[in-house]
Amino acid sequence: MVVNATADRVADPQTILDLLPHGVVVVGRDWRIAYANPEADRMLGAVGATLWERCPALEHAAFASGFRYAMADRTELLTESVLPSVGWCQARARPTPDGGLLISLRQVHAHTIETGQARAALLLGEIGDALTREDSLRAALRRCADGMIRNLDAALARIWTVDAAAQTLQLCASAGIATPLDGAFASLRFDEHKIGAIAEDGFPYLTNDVPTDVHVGNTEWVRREKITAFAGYPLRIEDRIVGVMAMYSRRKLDHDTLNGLSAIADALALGIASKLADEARRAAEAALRRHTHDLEELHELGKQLSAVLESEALAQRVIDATTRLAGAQVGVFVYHSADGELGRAVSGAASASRLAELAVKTLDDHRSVRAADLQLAGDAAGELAIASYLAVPVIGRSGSTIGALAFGHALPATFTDEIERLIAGVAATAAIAMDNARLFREARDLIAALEASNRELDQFAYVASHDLKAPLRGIANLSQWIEDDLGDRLDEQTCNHLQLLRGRVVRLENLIAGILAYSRAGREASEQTSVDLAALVTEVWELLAPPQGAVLDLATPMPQLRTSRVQLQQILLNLIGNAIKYNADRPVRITVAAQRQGKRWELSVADDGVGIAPEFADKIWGLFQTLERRDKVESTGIGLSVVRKIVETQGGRAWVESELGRGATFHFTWPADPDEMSRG
Amino acid sequence: MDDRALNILLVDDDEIDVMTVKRAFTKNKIGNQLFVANDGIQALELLRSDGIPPSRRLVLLDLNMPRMNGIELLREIRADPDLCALTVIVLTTSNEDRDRVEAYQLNVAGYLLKPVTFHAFAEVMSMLNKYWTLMEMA
Repeated sequence: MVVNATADRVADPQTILDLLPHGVVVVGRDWRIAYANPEADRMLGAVGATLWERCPALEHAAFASGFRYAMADRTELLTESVLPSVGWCQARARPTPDGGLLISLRQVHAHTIETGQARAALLLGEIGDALTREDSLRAALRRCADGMIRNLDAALARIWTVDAAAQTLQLCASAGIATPLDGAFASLRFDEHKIGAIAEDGFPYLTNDVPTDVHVGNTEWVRREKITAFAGYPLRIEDRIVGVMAMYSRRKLDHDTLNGLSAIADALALGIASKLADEARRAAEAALRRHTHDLEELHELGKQLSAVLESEALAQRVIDATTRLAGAQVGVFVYHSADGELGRAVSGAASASRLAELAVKTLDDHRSVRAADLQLAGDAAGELAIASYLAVPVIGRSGSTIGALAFGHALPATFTDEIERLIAGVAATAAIAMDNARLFREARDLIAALEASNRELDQFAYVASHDLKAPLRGIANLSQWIEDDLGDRLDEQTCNHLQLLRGRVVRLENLIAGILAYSRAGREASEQTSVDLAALVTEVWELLAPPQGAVLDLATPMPQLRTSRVQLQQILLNLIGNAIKYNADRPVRITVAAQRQGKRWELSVADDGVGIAPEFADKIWGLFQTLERRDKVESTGIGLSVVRKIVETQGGRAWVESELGRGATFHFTWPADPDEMSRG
Repeated sequence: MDDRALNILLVDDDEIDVMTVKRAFTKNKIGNQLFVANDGIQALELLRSDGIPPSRRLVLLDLNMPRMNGIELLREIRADPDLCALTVIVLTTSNEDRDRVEAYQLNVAGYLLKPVTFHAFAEVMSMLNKYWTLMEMA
């Protein structure tokens, strides 16, 4: 302890350090605090074992790198920077013999800075910090305005940003004697007031004589607040104005301050531009996400539409999906429905009569309509107010408009170009789906009508044949009884007549049976079973009970078929039956053959009998056509027409090859099951 | 007349068909008594009254008749506890499967198609006579 001569003067180092208005810190090699005086505690904080723990803010200031450099290089270093909540500070770091560092910190107060340049530099630092740290542009600009008040001792500082779309300046930050953002200067056009003029011209406006300058400020307010100077700067990036900065001061602005303000304006401009770029990037990402989401919805809609074939359900799905895609509150789909009426599907509301009425106009006009603000108020019936409106026609394959989609939203201008294009795209897909639904419905109706017609025909044929047969039977019986009762009293001619009479009755009965068979041919529900063709032919032969002279020959191996036995039997009965009937007076050989031809079987029934003249090869297939008089060969003339009808129903054809005297071969094709192969 | 003679009710609307049956009976010397009704309603009246003796009844039934046709009559008969045990043989022109199936489902003893010629018809009646004679003996 150094003891001075006068005992009441304090001169020991500890007390001096305690009273020192500068912060003194001694740190070891590991940055642990060895000593810190009270002023250092106040400036850096008193909690933490190391220098960095005590004051994390040092990292963000130039001090950190300076101290580290001094520690590593064992040199003395002087740095200046901002310590938050303290202010501008000067720090001197001096290495200690034990490998650590002694740091002295001196706060440099605003009023000790002589030049306006230094003050401006301080402000720049704060602005840089604000623009990088703050997330929102507004918060950053607010801090900048505050900084301007504090560091430049301004009365009022304001910052506007440009809204390019609306061509206006929006007040974003206001500090000082008037802070509200929604007052008279909240939104300015480019030609309004001095501020607008600055933005439009692109030049700063500076005056140290505000009271006499008619362009600046409200004279009453100016006088009351004793405003002397005004500085307004455009915030510019290359040739783009992104905002305006303005400052009112009670003191005249000196040259250095004005230079400083220019630098500040550039910093603000850069900061605003970078923040705007950030926001643009985020908006683009959001748009991309929306777009992806829309594509997924469209894909889902496509899948759904292809699965639904019923018009009403389809229309509902379409309007539900498109209302969602368009971001509308209510949507309606009006369309021409099967019964000629206008169908309507609604999404987002219980009913939408007014919207539907508007949609009908688009149905008639065939053109899209988009309105930003329809100003259709809500009504007592619960219908929503509509400001934004979009209507898109749904145009079918034939080019005619089959419907219209209309959307509404209470807020104006919600439907963009992009949305209109999207909905038009969906409308095209919906049109195809609706067309398909209509075709499906028509096909179904046709099938139902066909089935009804078939049933009617069946019924008719049954009734007709029964009712026609009854009197026939009567005639036959009566004629028989006449013959029986009068038998020996009748002469030969009368007996003959009665015989002919009965013959005609039989013929008529055969014709009726033939018509019935013809009307049914090919229409019977054909049950597919396994059919042994050889067995079937043999069975038919036995059924026909051929005379002695007739011989059956199976020329080829007969396959097993998967087919309708009844129909095939009918054909064989007719063809083999004909071969027997027309050659009853001679020995005849009848040959049946089967050959696989691609997807079909070709079957043939040949005889070596009387043959058919080639010129009649087509005629014989006609209904009721015979080649001989019915008195010579009793024949309805229906058999072959039945054969042809059945064969053609199965998609095949039937034809004959013949020459007079050389016999005839009847061919027909029959569908083959893909699994069948000819035997052997 | 045989005391085991049957009481046969012929239900048919066609005059000539009725004549045919009668004539066939005569030709085959079938001695059973023949009653005639022209449709189902008449038939029921006869069956429910004492128009026909109540025992040893047989019905020859045509299917296509006005007012009440054969199948409808058959249903009525089977539904009536007094009549449900009646022996019924269908004698019809209808070769429709559905008629045949319905008739057998209503328990007919036979389903015969009316032949076109009288001679064939007479043969059918002769067969029928043998049949119900046989049934009587069983």
